[in-house]
Amino acid sequence: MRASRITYVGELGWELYLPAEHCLDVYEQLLEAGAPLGLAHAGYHAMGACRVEKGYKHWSHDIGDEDTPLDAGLGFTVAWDKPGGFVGRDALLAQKAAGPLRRRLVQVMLEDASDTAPLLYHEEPIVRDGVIVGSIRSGAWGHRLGRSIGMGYVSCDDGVAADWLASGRWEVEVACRRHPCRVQLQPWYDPRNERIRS
Amino acid sequence: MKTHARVIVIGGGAVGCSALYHLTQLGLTDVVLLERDELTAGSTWHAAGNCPNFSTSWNVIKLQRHSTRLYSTLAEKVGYDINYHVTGSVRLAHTRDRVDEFRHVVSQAHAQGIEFEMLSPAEIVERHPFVDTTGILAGLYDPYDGDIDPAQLTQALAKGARDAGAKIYRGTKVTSIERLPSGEWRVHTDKGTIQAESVINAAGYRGGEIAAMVGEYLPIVTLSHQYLITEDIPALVERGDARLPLLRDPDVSYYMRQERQGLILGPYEWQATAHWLDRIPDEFANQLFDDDLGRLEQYIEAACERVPILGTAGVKKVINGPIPYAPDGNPLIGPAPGLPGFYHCCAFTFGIAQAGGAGKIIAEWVAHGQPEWDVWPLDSRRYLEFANDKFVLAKAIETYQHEYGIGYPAEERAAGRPAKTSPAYLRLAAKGAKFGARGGWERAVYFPKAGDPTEPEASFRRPAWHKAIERECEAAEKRVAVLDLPGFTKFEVTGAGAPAWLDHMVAGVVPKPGRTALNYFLNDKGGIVTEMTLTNLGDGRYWLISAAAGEKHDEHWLREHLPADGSVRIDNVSARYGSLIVVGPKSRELLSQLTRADLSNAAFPWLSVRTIDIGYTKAVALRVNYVGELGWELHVPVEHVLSVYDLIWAAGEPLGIADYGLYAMDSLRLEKCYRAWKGDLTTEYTPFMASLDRFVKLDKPGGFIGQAALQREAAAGPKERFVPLIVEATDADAAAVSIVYDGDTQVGLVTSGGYGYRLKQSIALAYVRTDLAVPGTVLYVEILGERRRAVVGKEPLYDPDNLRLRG
Repeated sequence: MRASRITYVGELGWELYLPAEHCLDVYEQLLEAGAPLGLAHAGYHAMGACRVEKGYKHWSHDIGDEDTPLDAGLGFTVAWDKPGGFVGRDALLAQKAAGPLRRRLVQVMLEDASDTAPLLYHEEPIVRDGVIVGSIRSGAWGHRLGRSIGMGYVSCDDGVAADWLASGRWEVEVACRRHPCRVQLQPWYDPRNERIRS
Repeated sequence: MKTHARVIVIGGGAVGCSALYHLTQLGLTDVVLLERDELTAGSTWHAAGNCPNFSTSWNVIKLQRHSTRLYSTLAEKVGYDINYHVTGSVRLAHTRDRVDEFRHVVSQAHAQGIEFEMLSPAEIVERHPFVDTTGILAGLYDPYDGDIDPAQLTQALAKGARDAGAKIYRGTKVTSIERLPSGEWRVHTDKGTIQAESVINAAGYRGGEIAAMVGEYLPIVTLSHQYLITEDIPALVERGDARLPLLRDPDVSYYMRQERQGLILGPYEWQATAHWLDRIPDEFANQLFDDDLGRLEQYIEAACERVPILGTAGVKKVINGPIPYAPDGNPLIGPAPGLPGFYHCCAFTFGIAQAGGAGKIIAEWVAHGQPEWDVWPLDSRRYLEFANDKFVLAKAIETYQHEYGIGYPAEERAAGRPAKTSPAYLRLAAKGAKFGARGGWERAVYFPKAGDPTEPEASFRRPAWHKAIERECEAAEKRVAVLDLPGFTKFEVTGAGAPAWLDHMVAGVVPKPGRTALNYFLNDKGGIVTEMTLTNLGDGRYWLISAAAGEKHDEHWLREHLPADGSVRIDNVSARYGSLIVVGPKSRELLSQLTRADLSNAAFPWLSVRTIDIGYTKAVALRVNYVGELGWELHVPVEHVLSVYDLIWAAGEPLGIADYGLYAMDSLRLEKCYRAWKGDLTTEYTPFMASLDRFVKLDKPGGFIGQAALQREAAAGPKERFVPLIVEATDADAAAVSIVYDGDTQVGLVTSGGYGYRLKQSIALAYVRTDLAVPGTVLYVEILGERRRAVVGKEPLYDPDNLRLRG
């Protein structure tokens, strides 16, 4: 089998790729070995919540054909100078040359730390100093953070820069009510990837 | 050192030297053997040197008898003295099942011209005066058993090879192996480099290390086996030069033989012990492990009770040495797929007894491209991709523990399982299915119900599960039955050159679009290499379907014959499709509820293929089956198997559906006289011998592999023919390799047998002398020592006009 040390939930871990006919056997061995370690089953919703805490993007929610890797904070995945080039390189180079990015994906966390804080789903407006500047793409209750969180794109004609993000009064509008929030570019959970690298 | 040779043998134990010797006897004298230490330094030098012919396997008997015949003349032939005592041997039976096993093996040996005998307790004492026969039911006598000095045997083989021109380089360690663009092999050693057309890996317990140098994994693990040698025993000193026969007490699990004036005792203990699970120490050679007599205590006590003189002398020496084990304890002999010219001949657990026969087989592989005998149970390709260290260890330990187990005709041992499972596995398990592993795939063998007898699980007579089989066969005959059959080997063949290439590969006709046909792949002698269902899907794709266990073997055969121009492409899709088999007179009614496809005879005749919708997927549906009823094989993407199975079951319940397993399938196919690959069909038989004339298009314009040989055979007439026999059996059916007699003359051999529940008759499928292969001829089949009347039938026995298949 092929084991990849990668994760979509932001913890130390491996993804195991194995022939389908061996899954049952390996699964049962994992259960057996994991029992004394407190192994638990996790489902799709837990995975979804964890990945939002880590700011991992989900195709069709957070990234699609209207978003570039630069918008989405995925510039690190672009091999600009690879010899054969790649589809879309010219457009990305043009975007880079045009100055500071005017639209970027940001991580959002509601200030309300209580467990009655509203949940974000998608398309909730993101408001800076009373003006709508973007909207939520995906949201979740972050169980490791104990906060309602989400991520979405915000726009600014002068460029979405760190000081612009830090200086405004930020809110998310949920069901016609605006809730104070914080925004930042890096993920809320383990921003230095210490758990993944442990 | 030479820089070039025709063949390089790696490893100078008894097996490597035998390979070298046999190569020279076949005229290949430009051959070289490389040994990292001294000859015999691995497992040979410390072997007990027993030379039995006995085995519960037909092939192993054949191989070992070649050894003992060779050893009895070798010393004289090559001019090198060998201490070889042909003492004969006595085996003891404590149970009725063991007596059955002995009777069956005696019959197998007789079929090979080896005069094994059954012994009464009194006759046992006549042969071996020191045995206490309390509780012993019977014995088996092998007149050609004995013991040989392993080092002298190895040196004699080496001398015979050297005298014929072979070169042996000792102290020459292979460090890497590369394949040159020319196809030759370049072997790098610490003493220089040498090139050859062919390489034989005879590296014993280091066979895995050599295989890894060419990127192959071999399933081998090292276990330790101990035997002890006593001081002189006064009772044996008194006998002077007279030597006791070897004694084997399989129900307790030990062997005992005379060594000078003392005894050797060697148990196969339950506490099997593995070594070197991470790596084999590089420096280990000519060494032993520390004694561990504690593991043997209960066996020593039992042996002292059985042969009291054993307890009259102290222990002089204990030998505890490394022995290689493949999962089933049989060696790994054969070509390495994808590595033309590279062969394995290693992992010998009984290397002294088997070296002679193994040398013959591997030398023939190299010299002739195929061995005289079909020795599939020893072929290195029998282990599929999944066999890894964990599997080997689990299985080898189980094999060691059962080294003296009874060789029942059907037994499903538990170690190393489950490895591969169908998505429907847990569903079937919840219904109480009993499973067996085939090519690693868990398949239901039968479905017991409350109230069924539970004992015996395994037997030479009809075991407890015959009640379940009867029920499953009845469902197939009268209603409808379903079988989840994961792991069928499946190849998809495409490309512009595919039709012509397939036509050349098979003896029969490539089916027209939408049709399917059984086809036979032959070697150039006309021997049957494999049998596959060839299906023309009609869109440029051809499917070849064959046995799960044959995956590596069949893929090797296909790929080594691919045209070099890239015009034919083969994809192994075995694991991508699961197979659900729906059979029985109500199968059409059932499946019609699950698909919009027209399943009528007009739209979907027998031996045709359609892609049909079923459940939330599409199935490649073949109107064929292995049981002889109206029915379909549905090949569906593996992830849909469970949902389609559930749909079939739900729709089938009102129709009286039942699950059936492999054992029922085997009974049903016997009634239809459908052949089983490597049971009924081997490379030792041609399609004419196998009475498969209707599958041969002898005058095919493009020709086919084996055509010339078959034309010659057609002109001369085959010597044997395959026929069904209706046997007047009692509680035991004919097992494979039972002898067929005409009066007192051996005239044939049973290749499979069992009970047919639809016909309510005991059936054997056999090759018999051609003049006797006439329906109505009265013959006799020997079953557990008794000759049973058997009448030649006309195939197929069940539904002779295939009306049910066409129904």
